[in-house]
Amino acid sequence: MKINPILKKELTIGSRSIKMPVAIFFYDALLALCSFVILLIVRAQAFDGGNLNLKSLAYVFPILMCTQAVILYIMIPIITASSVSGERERQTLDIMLTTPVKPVQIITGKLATAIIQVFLFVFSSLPMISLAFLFGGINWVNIIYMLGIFLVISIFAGSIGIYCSSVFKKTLPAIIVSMVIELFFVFGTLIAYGVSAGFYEYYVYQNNIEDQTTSLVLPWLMVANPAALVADYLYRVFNSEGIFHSTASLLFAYSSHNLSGMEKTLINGLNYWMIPNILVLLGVSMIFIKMAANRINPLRRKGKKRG
Amino acid sequence: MLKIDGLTKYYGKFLALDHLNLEIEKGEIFGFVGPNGAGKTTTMKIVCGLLNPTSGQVYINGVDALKDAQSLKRKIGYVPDFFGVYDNLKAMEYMEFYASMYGLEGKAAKETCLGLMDLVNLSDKTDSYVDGLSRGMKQRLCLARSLVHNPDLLILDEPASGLDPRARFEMKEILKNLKEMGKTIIISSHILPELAEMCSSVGIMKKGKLVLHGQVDEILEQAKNANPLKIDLIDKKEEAIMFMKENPKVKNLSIRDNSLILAFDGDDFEIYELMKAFVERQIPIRGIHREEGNLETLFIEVTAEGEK
Repeated sequence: MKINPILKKELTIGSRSIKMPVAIFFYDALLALCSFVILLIVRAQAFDGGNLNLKSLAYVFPILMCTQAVILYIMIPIITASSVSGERERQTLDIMLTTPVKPVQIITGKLATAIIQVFLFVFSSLPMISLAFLFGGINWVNIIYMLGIFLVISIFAGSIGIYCSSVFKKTLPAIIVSMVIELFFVFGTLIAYGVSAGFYEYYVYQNNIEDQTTSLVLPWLMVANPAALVADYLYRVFNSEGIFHSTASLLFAYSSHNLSGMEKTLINGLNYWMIPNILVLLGVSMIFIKMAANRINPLRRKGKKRG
Repeated sequence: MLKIDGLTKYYGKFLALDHLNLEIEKGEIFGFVGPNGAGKTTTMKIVCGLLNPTSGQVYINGVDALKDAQSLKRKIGYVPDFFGVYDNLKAMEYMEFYASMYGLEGKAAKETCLGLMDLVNLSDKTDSYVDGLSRGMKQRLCLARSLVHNPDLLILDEPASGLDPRARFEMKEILKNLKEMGKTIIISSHILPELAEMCSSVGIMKKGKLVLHGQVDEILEQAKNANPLKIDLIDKKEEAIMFMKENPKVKNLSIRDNSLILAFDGDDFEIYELMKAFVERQIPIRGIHREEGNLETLFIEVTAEGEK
C-alpha cells in the first residue's frame, strides 16, 4: 500500500520535534488533574458522612471525554492552520504543485497527518479514561464510540483549519479565523436553534396552535454542531436514548395534545440524531477540503504580480 | 521541445507578458535575461503549470501544456529562485520525499537519489540535515531534486543567485554535465557573462516582451557592433574630428587624449572602409578597434532603451 508522500514526510518531521512529546505530557497532565479532582470529590463525600456514591466515579468518562473534545477542537486548528501556510512560508508549496501530486492529495495528506497527531494525544489518554472501568458502567464499546466521535470531530475541525490555512498566507490569522468558524458551528447553530425555538414557542402560544411539527424540526438546525454529537452520545451512555429524543419526548409527555403521525415520526427520527449529525459534519468537511484544494490549485487561483 | 505562442499575462491591469513568442530546441540551454519585472518568472511559472496565462499557448513536445498540465509535470523539472527545503529532513530524505511524489519508492528511489546526489557532488551529505548545508549545497540539492523524475525540460529560475564564485562555478559545471546528458534547460539569471558561457541561446526580456533572441554567438556579434569604436590618432586630430562628423554612420563622438571614441553603426567591412578613408585622406592613425563586446553591455543597452 502506498502511503501519501506528504503524510510520510510530515510524520518524519513531526517525530523529530520535541514539541509533540511536550504537548502530550501537558495534555495528559490536564486530564490526570481532571480525574484526580473527581476522585477527590468522591473521597470528600465519603468523609463528610454522606453516602459514598461510587456510581459518580463513572462520570470520569463523560468529563474526560468532554475535556478531550474541547481540547481537540481547539488544538486541531493550531496544528492544521500552519499546514498550507507553513508550506507557503517555506516556499515549498510551488515545488509540490509542480509534481504530479494533486492539490487534493496535498490537502488530505496534511489532514491525515493532523488526525494521526491528534490521535497520539487521544491514545495516550486511554489509561486515564479506563479509570471509569474500575468502577463499572463503561465498557470498551463506549471507548470505540468515543474514538469514532473524536475522529469525526478531528476531520471536521481539521478541514476547517486546512481551508483557512489555504486562504491566509500567515499561520496566525489562519488559526484565529478557523477558531471563529469552529465557534460558529458550535455556538452559532446553538443560538440559531435557541432563538428560532423561542420565537416559534411564542408564536404557538400567541396563536394557540396545536401542531408541534415545526418545533420538532428546529433541533436539526444543530445537525452541523459537533458539540451536539458529543452531547447526544454522552446522554446515551447513561440513558437508553439520545438527548434530543429524550427532550422531545419529555415535551409531549405531559401535554394533553395527541401526537400526529408526522410528530411521532419526527420524535423517533431524533433518536437517530448521531447518524445525520455525523454525515453532515463529514459532508461539511468534504466541502472545506474541496475548497482548500481549489485554493491551492495554481490553475484555478487568480494571479498575483510577480517579477 | 518548447514552443510559446502569443503568451500574454495580466495581473489586474498590469501587463506582465505581452504576446511572447519563443521556440527552444531539444538539448538547448536557453538563457532568459531581463531586469526585475520583465516577465521571466511569470513565463517560467506558466510553463511549469503554476500560473494560468491570460491568453496564448505553450507546447512541450507538441503537447498543449495548458490543457494537459498534469501529464506534462513528469517532463518538467523546476528549480525556483528560492531553496524550498525542509529543515528537519536529511538531504537523502528530502530527495526520497520528492521521488515518492513521482511514484518512485523503495530501492529504485534510493538508487536514483544517490545517483543524483553524486551528480551534484553531495554524495557525502546524504545523512546531513538540509538545515546544515551551505547555500551552494542547498541550491545543488534543489537541482538534484528537480531531476528526480528524469525530466526532459529543466527550468531554473536564478540558480546562481546569491552563490559565491566557487558555488557558481560548481553549478556551472553541473549544468554543463546536464547539457551533455541531452537535457533542455531554461535558465534565468542576472549574471549575464556566465549565461553567455553556459547557454547556447539567449533571450532578453523587457516589459513582458522578448526584445532580443538568438544564438549566443549572434548576440555577442551584435554586442560587439554595439560597442564603441576607438580610433588611435598619431596626428591631425581636428581634421579627423571633422571627417568623422561628416560620416553618417557615426552616431556619437567623444575625444579621449589622442583617441576618438565613437558609436559606429557599421560592420567589420565598413570599419575596413573607414580605415581606408583615413589612409586616403592622409590622416595618420595607429589603429582602429572595437572594444570587446559582452552580453552585459548589450543587456544594459537593450533594456535601457526608451527609459529616462
